[in-house]
Amino acid sequence: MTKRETLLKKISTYQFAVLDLQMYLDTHQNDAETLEKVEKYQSLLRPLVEEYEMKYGPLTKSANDGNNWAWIKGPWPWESEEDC
Amino acid sequence: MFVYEKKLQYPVNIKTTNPKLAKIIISQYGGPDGELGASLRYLSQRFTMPMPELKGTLTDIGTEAPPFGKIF
Repeated sequence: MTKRETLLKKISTYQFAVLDLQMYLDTHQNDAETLEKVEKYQSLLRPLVEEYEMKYGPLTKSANDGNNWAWIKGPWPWESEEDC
Repeated sequence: MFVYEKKLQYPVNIKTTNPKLAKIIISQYGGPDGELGASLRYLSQRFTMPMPELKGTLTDIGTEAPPFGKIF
């Protein structure tokens, strides 16, 4: 696994935790412990996304910055790093 | 509205390619009785769902669980 892939996996892990907990909250609105967990994981996630986008390009179209449309640069999620 | 993220929900690493199996897997997503159809059903069912918890749940599972986030 390359450094890029390791960082992406970390991001995916936190993001999945957040998504799953948020889904749980749909039916358990007043669960303070879960609300806290969501916030915690989100705060851990943010700097990782920032680091990734700075080093390897935008994860969403809206995250594009600079004077060049980096969105179209590979690798896309279904491609391996050698393909690019 | 959907927003595409340039990442997978779970990393997939195919070591041995198998076109026959690939055909089956892809039909689980886009084919008859696949996830794509299911996700659109969840999103349609929201409109007649009376309970707020379940309006939220249908929105979330219709948006997040299906193919867009997972392997595409």
